[in-house]
Amino acid sequence: MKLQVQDLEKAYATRKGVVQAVCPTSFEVGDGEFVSLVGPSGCGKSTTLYMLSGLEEVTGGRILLDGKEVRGPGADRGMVFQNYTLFPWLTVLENVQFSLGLKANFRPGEQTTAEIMRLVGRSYFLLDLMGLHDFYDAYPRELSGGMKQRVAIARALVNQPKILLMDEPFGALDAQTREEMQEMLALLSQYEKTTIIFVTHDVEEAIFLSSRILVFSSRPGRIISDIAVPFGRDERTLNLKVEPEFMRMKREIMTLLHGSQNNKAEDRKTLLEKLVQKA
Amino acid sequence: MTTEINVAPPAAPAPPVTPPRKVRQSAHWFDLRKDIPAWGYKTLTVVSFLALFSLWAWLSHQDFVNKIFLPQPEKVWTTFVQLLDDDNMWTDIKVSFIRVTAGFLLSAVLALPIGLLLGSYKIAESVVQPLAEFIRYVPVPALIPMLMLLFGIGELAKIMLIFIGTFFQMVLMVADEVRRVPYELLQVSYTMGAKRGEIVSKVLLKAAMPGIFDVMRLCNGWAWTYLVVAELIAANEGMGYRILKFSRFLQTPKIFVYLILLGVIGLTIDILLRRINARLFQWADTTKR
Ligand SMILES: Nc1ncnc2c1ncn2[C@@H]1O[C@H](COP(=O)(O)OP(=O)(O)O)[C@@H](O)[C@H]1O
Ligand SMILES: [Mg+2]
Repeated sequence: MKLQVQDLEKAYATRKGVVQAVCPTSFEVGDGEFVSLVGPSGCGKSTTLYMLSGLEEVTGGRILLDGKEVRGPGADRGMVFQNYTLFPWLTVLENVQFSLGLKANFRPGEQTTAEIMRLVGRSYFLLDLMGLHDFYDAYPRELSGGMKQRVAIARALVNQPKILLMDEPFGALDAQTREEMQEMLALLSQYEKTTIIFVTHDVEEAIFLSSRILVFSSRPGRIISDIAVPFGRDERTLNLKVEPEFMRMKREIMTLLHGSQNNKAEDRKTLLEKLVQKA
Repeated sequence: MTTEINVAPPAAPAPPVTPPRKVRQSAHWFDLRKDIPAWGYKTLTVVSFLALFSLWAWLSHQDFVNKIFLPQPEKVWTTFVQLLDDDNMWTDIKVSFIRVTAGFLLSAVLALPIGLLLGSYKIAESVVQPLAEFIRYVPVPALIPMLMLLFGIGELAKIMLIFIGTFFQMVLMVADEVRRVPYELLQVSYTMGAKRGEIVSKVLLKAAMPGIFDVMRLCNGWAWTYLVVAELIAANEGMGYRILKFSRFLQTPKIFVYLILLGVIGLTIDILLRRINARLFQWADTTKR
């Protein structure tokens, strides 16, 4: 698996003119990498991810997956969204097995039955691994936010996509659930060796999960730093977050992020002073 | 979970299932959208019917009200008892029920696929939607001559009138329900490899189904309101026909019997369809929709 992003660019035509959401950006992601995209809100992280998924058209540059240009969405790039996107009329198990019933994924022919049986088995393993053994038959509305996201992750992984795209999947969860989910994802990626691109604005989350971090500047987004995370995949336990090396990295990335917003801080200071004077 | 890796967070155990018992809950009589106690709901419903009935009973006994226009409840009751022995009433109910249901079902069968396409593809919308909006405003009684020309003066013409009265509304409302399906559900389907056709049948239709069913329930009510118009066409039986005939002879007690019957029939069908909806679509969280 190899993902090549070359001069990727996105501009939106709006009423007020053209909005440049993503500056020409290039990077590559290799097999089994866990790459996080971090950056201030509105810098184009989601837009970049949606272009990789094929849901959003590119307005410049190109995306190559194993040398083939990406045109439109496909099952080789799974995606987990920030909002809950389970199908409410399907049970947990049916949600996870949804892709197994799609024509495009299985053209009738030899091996198909065996292949489907294997993936059906995977769907059970994934759910059990996520602690959802007792919820096979539950409907999404009966689940908590964390459980919904675990089902969504299982659903995206069951068909073994070449690459898993995640857009702030834990952004709507409370702090504790979030940490549990991070631990779960760290372990899962260690065993499954799926290539993952993970969007977040939480620096700690990015370091904890990734093997590599791409730091985006504020809008229009471009990569200002490409950082390798030195921790091994088996070191990803919650203790890691208090290691000095972890803290040092966190500070380094925070500085990078704030650096791209320095002038904003100045503006804010003068505004605040005016606000206090008025009162 | 013994030997496998302990990834599963322990924080999400199965909800403990205990034998049913009374759970003390405070009532929320004025909270937005919150349920009120079932007994309270039923009592208030009965009270509102009783209030309307009392108003009628009181008014009809006042001197300033002409009994010919507002018959007294006891008179309506005795008329009803007389009509029970009259075969005409039962035929009227049967005939009208069949006409309305046939027209309604024809509408539903056609509006479902067409509305689904309309709500899914803008190109279908551009072709059908403005046309349907236009026809929707044509007064249905004005179409009677044309219907008679096309379908004669038999049952078909009456059924077609009810069909025309409900179909265009229904198509537009079904399409709206389909459009209400969150776009994220389409996006996630694409990323799982679903093609457009599959998304229409496996996602849009499924997701919109409870809403569509509700649209059908509303339109069934409308279908009944077209009954009188439909039975303007060369009918010699049917509830609408009979009401017209009664009014020609100012037989208001009989009119009232038929109006109340219509209300009861409509309410019964409505409650039935609501129950079926709740049973079929248990996954839908109706309180928060
Ligand atoms: N459909 C759109 N039309 C116009 N501008 C958009 C649209 N979608 C996103 N943008 C703009 O593109 C920028 C990047 O958005 P997004 O990728 O969602 O940011 P992030 O995910 O990093 O917070 C934002 O400034 C946003 O205003
Ligand atoms: Mg975003």
